[in-house]
Amino acid sequence: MADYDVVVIGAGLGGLSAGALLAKQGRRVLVLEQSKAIGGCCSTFERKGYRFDVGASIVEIIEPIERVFEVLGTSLQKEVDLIPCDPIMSFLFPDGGRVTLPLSAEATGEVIASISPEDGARWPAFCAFADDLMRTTLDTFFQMPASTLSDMGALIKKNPRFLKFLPVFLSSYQDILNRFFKDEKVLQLMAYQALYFGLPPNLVPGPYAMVPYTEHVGIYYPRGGMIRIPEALQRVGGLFGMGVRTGARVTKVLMDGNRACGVRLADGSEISADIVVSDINAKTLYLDLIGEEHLPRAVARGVQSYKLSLSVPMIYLALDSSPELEAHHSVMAISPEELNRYYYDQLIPGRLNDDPFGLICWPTHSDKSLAPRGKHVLNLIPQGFYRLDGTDWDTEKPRYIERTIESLSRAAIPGLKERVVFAECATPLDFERDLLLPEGAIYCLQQDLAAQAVFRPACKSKSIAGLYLVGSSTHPGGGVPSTIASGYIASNLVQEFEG
Amino acid sequence: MSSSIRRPLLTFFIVALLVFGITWWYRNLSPRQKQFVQNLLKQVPDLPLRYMV
Repeated sequence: MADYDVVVIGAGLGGLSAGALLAKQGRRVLVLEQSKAIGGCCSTFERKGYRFDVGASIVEIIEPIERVFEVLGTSLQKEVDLIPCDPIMSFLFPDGGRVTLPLSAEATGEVIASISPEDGARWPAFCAFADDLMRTTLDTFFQMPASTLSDMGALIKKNPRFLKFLPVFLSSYQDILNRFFKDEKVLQLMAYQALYFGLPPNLVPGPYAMVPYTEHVGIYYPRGGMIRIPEALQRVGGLFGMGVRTGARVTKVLMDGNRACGVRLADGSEISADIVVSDINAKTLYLDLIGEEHLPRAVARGVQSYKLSLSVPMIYLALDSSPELEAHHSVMAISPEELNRYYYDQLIPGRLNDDPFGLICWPTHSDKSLAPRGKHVLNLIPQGFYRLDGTDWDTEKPRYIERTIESLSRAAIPGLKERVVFAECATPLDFERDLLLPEGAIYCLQQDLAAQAVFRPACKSKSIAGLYLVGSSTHPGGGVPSTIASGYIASNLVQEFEG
Repeated sequence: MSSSIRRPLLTFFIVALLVFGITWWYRNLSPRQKQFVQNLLKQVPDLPLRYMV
C-alpha cells in the first residue's frame, strides 16, 4: 500500500484546490510545497508590519472559485472576506489627466461616451458580446478538460454556443477591440489587460478581450491579503484530511514503468503514492523531475517546444501616507499599438528604460489592515523579462527600484518618492530562485493560441499514467480563477479514470 | 468529360481557389494581424508534438 493515495507537488492555487477536492473524494492527500509559504504567486508576506502580495493582486471571474468551495461543502464568501473594488481602475495619462472607471458597466459606458460618443454607443454591444463569451467559457472551458479533440467535441456538445466564438479564437485581442472601438483614448482604457496574459495585444488570443468587460462583473480583494484564498483552500482541505508540508522540495517523480508512483524529496526521502498531481511548470516536471528517458521522444520534443511566459519584476513599497491615486489598480494609459511596440522594442531585447510601464496596485485602498494605522502599501507590477541586455537583475535591482519610483513620482504619483518608508523588489531571478519558476515565468508557459486547449500540456498526462497537471501550465491557463479551475478539472479526471 | 478527368480538375480548382482566397485574405491583413498569423504559423510544426504532451 502506498504512503498516500495522492501526492501533490506545489501548494499553489491549482495544487491546493485539486488536493482539497481529492481529499473530499475520500483520498489520502499530501501537498508538498518547497517554500515556507503556501500560495505560490498568490501569496502574501509581511515586513515591518506591512503586508505585501507576492504577485496576484485581485480576484475576478469568481465563479470557478465559488464552484470549488461549493463542492467542498462551503462557500467562497463564508471562507474568504472578499472586498469589492470600486472603482476598478484608474488610467493615468501622460498629460496628467486621469480617467477612473467605476464598477458599474453602465456608468463606465457614460465615461466612455464622454470621451467618444461613438464608442460610448458601441460599449453596450461590446458588453453583450463579452458577457456571452464569458458565460460560454465559464460553462465549458473553466469546467472541462480541453486536451483532446474528443474533449473539444464534448465541450461543444455541452454548449454549442462555443462554436459561435471559434472565429474569435483566430483573432487577436487587438482585433476584437478594434472591432468595437475607434477612439485612441478609449482604446487606451482597454489595452493594458492584455498583459494579464503575458503577451502584447496583437498576440493575445481574441477571447481574452472580454476582460475589459469582465472586470465590471466584479473585482475583489481578499481582506488580509491574497494569501487568504490559498489559506482557505488549505483549511477546508484539512477538514477532509489533506496534509500540507512546506519546506519540502520534490526533486524527482518516482516511476514504475510508465506510471508515476511517488516522489523523492531534496533530503533523499521518498513518498509513494498512487497518483501524482503536479502544480509546477510542466517543462520542469517532464524534463527534470520525470526525465526524458521516461518520455516518448515526440513528447519530450513537444515539451521542449513550449516558450516560457513573461516574467514580472515586482516592487513592494511601504508608504508613510496615502498616495495620490483613486483606485485599487492604476495604470499608465497606453494604446494597444504602443503596448505592442513596448513589447517588441523593450521587453524582447531586455532593455530597461527610464519609464517602466506597468500596473500600480494599491491594496490598502481596499484593505487598511495591511499596513500600520495611516500607512499604506503599494505594489508596482512593471512588465518584465528575464534576460537583460548587457546586465543582470541582481546588478540592476537597486537602480531599477530607484528609477521606477522616480519615474512614477514624476509622471503619475506626485510626491511618491518622499512617502516611501522602504522598498523591496522581487526580480524574475528572485522568482526563479524562491518560487522555482523557470526564468521567473509567472504564467509558466506562453499563452498564445499555439499553446492553448489541445496544444497546452494535458491535465491528464497523455504519456505518464497516474500523473495529472494543474496550475498555469495546463488548461485553462494562468490567473487566479483559471488555476483554481484546473484543480477542479483534474479532480474530476482523477475520479473518472482512477476510480 | 469522363469522371476520371473531372475529379482531378475539380480538386485543382478547389485548391487554387483556396490558395487564392488565403493569399487575398493575408494580403489584406494589417501588419499587426500579420504578426498574429505569423506567430501561429511559426509554431505549426510544433503543434502535433504539443498535442501529444
